[in-house]
Amino acid sequence: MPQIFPEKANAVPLYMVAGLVAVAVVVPPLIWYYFSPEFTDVGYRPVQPVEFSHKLHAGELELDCRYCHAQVEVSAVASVPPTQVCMNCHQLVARDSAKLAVIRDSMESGHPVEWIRVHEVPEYANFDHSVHVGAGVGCSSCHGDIRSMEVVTQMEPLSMSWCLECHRNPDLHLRERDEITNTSWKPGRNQLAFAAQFKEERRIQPPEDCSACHR
Amino acid sequence: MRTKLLALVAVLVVATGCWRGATSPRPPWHPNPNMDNQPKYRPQAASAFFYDGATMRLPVEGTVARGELHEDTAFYTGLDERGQLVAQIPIEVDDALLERGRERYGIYCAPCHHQRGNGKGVLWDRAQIQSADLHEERLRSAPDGQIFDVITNGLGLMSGYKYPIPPADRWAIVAYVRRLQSEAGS
Amino acid sequence: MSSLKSTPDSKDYWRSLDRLLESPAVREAVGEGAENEFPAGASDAPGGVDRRSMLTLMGASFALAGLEGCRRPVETIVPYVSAPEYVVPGIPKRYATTLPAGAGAHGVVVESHEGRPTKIEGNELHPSSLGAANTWTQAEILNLFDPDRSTSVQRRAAGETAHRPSSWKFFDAFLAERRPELEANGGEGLAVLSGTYSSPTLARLATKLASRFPKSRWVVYEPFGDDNVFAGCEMAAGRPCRPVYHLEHARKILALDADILHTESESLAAARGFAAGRKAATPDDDMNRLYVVESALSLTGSVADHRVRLRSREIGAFATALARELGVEAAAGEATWPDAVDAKLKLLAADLAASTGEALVVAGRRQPPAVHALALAMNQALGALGRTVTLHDLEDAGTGDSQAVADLVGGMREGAVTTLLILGGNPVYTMPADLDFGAALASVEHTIHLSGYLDETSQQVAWHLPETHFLEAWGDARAAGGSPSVVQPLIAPLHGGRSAVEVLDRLFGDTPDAARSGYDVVRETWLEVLGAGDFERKWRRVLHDGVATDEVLGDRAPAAGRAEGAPTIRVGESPAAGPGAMDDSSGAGAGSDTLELTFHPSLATWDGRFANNAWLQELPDALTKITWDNAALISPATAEQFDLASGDLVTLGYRDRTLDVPVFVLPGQADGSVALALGYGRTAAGRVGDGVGVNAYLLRHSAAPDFDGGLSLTKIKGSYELCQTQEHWDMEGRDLVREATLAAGFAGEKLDPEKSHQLFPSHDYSQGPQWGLAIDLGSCIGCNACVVACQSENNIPVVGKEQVGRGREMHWLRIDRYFSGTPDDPEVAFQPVPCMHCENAPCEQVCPVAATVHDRDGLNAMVYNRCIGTRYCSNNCPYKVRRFNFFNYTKDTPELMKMAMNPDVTVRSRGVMEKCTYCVQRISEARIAGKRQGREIADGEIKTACQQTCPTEAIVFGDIRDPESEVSRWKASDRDYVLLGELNNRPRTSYLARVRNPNPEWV
Repeated sequence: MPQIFPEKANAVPLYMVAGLVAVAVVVPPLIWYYFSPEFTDVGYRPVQPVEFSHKLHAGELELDCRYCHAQVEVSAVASVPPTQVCMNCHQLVARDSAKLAVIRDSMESGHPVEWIRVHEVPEYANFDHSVHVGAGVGCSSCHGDIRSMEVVTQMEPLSMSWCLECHRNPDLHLRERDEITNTSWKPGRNQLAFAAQFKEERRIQPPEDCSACHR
Repeated sequence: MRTKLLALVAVLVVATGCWRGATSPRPPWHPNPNMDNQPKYRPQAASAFFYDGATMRLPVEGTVARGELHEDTAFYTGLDERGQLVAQIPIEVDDALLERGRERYGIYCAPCHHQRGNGKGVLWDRAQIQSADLHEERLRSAPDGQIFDVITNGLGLMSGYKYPIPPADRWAIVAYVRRLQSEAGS
Repeated sequence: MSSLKSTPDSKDYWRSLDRLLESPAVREAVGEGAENEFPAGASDAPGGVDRRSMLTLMGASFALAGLEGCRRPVETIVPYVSAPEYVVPGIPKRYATTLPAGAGAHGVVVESHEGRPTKIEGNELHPSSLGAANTWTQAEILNLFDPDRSTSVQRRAAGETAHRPSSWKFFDAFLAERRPELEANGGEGLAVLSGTYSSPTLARLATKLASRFPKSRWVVYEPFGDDNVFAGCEMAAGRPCRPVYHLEHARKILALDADILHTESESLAAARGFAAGRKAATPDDDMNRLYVVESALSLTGSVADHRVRLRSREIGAFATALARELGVEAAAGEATWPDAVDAKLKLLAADLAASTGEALVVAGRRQPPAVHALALAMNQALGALGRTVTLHDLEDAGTGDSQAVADLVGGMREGAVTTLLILGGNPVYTMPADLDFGAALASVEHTIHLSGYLDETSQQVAWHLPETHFLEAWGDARAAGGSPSVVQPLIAPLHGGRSAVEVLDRLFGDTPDAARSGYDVVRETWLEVLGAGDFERKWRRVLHDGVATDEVLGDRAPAAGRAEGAPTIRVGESPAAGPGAMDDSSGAGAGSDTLELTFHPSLATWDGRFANNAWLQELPDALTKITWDNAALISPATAEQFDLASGDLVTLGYRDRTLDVPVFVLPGQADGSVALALGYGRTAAGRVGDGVGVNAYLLRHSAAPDFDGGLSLTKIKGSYELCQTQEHWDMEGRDLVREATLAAGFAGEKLDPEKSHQLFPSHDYSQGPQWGLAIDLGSCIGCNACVVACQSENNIPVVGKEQVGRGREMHWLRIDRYFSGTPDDPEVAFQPVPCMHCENAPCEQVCPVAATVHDRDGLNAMVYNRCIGTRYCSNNCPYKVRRFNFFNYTKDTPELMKMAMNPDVTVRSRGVMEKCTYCVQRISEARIAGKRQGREIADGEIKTACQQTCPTEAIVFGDIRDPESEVSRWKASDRDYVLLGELNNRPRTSYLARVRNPNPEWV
């Protein structure tokens, strides 16, 4: 009876084992790396309908975040400002700028500007801005140093594990009320002592229950 | 040969932006979109039904919501029952109110009127447009209700700020402006 | 003690006749053994596509979509252009407004998210709703966003067969063209047809119409109006009036064919008053007693302490006999009932007379005016006038008159009517079949129908005008007691409709160019209602409160009833009061032994106007538990007589018409009486309502629109599948509803947790608020309001009849209905069953992915995004309160319907388990508000949706760690017990045993 398989075939099982080992070694890190929101979501920088520069407005002109995002202390959503807020200044400044054509059109026609959402939490999770700001978590903890950004970019993964990390140990994100909107705020040397006292005073106990966010 | 290949792969990876934190204008990959976007409208959502593309509607004119009876016209409009500007802030001025006023003034007023109230804020720096100097005599002698009214409805080049600043905060700002004026005067 | 324990020998509950009889249908439905709880097919894959082809399809679509399809869709943020003051995105606002309801009004408070109404609740300041809302009122939100609503003016020119889209401009031009002629001839040939109203503005416009066009006529037709009530009141008191009942002051209540707690007018206030008189905390407390005499089992009959089954035809005679027993001079009636009924009648009279001054007799709207006059006379004899019943003027009301309707239809046929303006309603569908309104319409030259839908009537008129929803337009209405309130809109008209007020106002052509809005017209009326002095402040207060309180009205407050004292009720002099006028009003040769047919409003679609409302269609009927259908209800004895079983088809013959309907055997139905719900069998309702059920209007006759004898019933071949929510989740004879009687006292048997075996360690419940719920079975009347409230609050999908038939309905809160006693004369108990939020939750132990877990406040949380759909939890839940999304029921939600969704609650997708969350979104909202304001959550601050809307306040929610909280006090009651306590699940939801107050002498 002639041999069906050539002699080389004897090595096939070996190759298979080696291949499997290689896959087992290579694939999990790839999944870990590429399937994480830190890869998929961080760095999202959509092109907005208006070339609005946070760096200019919030950084150089030092407008407070709340000048535009006025509801952040009272509502779940910080809310993007109505066109009218842009026009508070731009009816006077840069009135003919081509960059502001969309804003002027919106004001004239009554059709709102359709901004692109950058920081998007899935709709089965509820995030409330007011309670975080009230507890001393500043803008930059989730949004990064917005005041230095020409175009808003997602800096944090906004994943559940990332949320929980802070809920379990918020110490490095708590700050005084004055510093809430300072997006270049960095924890100081006494941060841990400050945080311990701050948490005690304000009775800050971040919930870790599922029902805190999922409803 | 092999090293070249590896280098090529590395270059390709870098060139396609395949590292964490690489910026991209395209939305993130979400292989499992279950319930990420639901058939409901969160605040400021878009709508394909309304002509202006927004789900947020204006309340019908003339309606009164619960808790918005606002019979205290002095507090809500700065006008008394006879339609006259009130002379005095209708709420008690204390440290907490002044502190609140300082903070709100810093957010909404300082960009134009300057932190010191001299009317030379960013708008002056950038475009040489002078805003009202809060220390002027006519403003010092104006009734409190007038400052409230201007914050609410605007005046001249200034827009009204009734949308971002609730009435209580407007009075806090009025109180703080009075404090600024008295400090500068003394 | 034993009265609570309700061991099987003390009271034997059976869920339905099928269960009692152990019929083959049950065996088939639940499988052979009782251990199979789901009906066959409940867990099958959808038919048609097998797994292999499914995978092929999926593979193909993946390949097509590629990786780009895996990207998150771009989401836009659309702010205001100029933001309004006091609107904060993310913080809902609430507006008080009014739902006009026939000759009354329901005060409601509507939640609005950024200018979009999302939920309707009761207005606690309004005398007719007292903070509660019924099923229909709450479901109006779905009507507002119904994508099948009419979106434009439609015109059918002479000679054409179909409508074409037109516009208001053309209609206004048409009016302008017609007006000179009408003005010249004094409105000759002009007729307006509307439903019942009690609106100052409509009344003013009607008066204006009569003066501007003196020869015109305004006719009112309402399929279920209170015309008999008003006529009876006039008969008795000598002037037009209406009785308003105050059940909270009554100790003995008799309802004569009157579903006072649900389908009669003012049912919410009645239910609240009734329950207030039954909240007995200890056996020494006082408690009212309810007697019901009726033909078809109603909700009121279900909660009665004693119920007498009588055919509707016999109730007039019963009332006459009772009246004589109470000393009212009334003509003799022929008693055609057995001696047992006579004995009951005497006991009833004695018991009522024993509570003189605190007794109340109510007649139902189905009964003729004479019975209402008798009821008032009895009330007078019992000293009830001015105490448990007050008589009020019919202010600003347009009420029905069957003669005027007949004259109108006659006039239409003869050509005397040339212009017919139909304001709302759907007369082609709802008018009694013998009038043949549709045919009469064809003889009218100009026909105009203002309607929210292009319905049966709109299809037959020349002009169809899209009507605004009550949440879109200005208007007004008076409550039964006379308190006026304003209808203020929550949103601009979605489809550019106009309200009846606006259409009428334009009829006069006073403001041709800049036509006035409803706002101006209503304010003009209210200048008179409130008086010009300080008008603006009063007006704003009315809008804010949702009702003009006596304080605002001052000396303009409705005077009737209070100043009334006791009018002279003269029943003996009224010729119509004799029994001859009540018996055989049909004249169709109906002897007393013939079958009787009674008509009822559907508990889902009312008179048909809610036919396109999927929430209501899927709502299980309170008693039959049938969804998506109506059926002819017959008693078990009648079923035996005709050899019928539920689901059999019969032909009903009445006068010269026949109708094929399925029958349903309902215990408690009067023998020889067939009850039929109107409101089904629509042909132009919309995508939801078309072809659902059988149109019973086809049997309705204008001579006897409510009930009549002379019905023939013939069994025909075939059967019909009625989908009930009844046989599923059978709890197999365990101790579920506990009852006690006031006389026997009540003491609970609490389970000692220490004794019970426990497999898993307990959570720590010693910190923070610990949420719990208590339900008072003694107050629950089974009205389903909580079910709709839950559906609206929690975005619960509708699954359709077929899925309900497979046991896949999604209601988080169901109301179980149990019968006990004999099938002929059963006692009924209702039990709302939400998630129990067990402290030792069996569902949590079996979830492989920890998608259902406990939180620190003691909630059994359900994490949708983590759920993989194994359904183990549902299998392990002893209460069967978990619901599974077998399909993506919300995938094709129309753009408009998305606006009816609560933005604070996840809209679940396919493959996800869901269940009652104790309205965790409301808990979170209160918790966050508390944190923001630096305070603790107060007791009563959080109300679950079911609790909030409950007309009888049978549900209370709160912190069980706080001994002072309302819920803790309820749970401390002797009546408190938990479902299946022996399992030691330690449910956070507990029940207060039902307390009955039977007459000890009852036979």
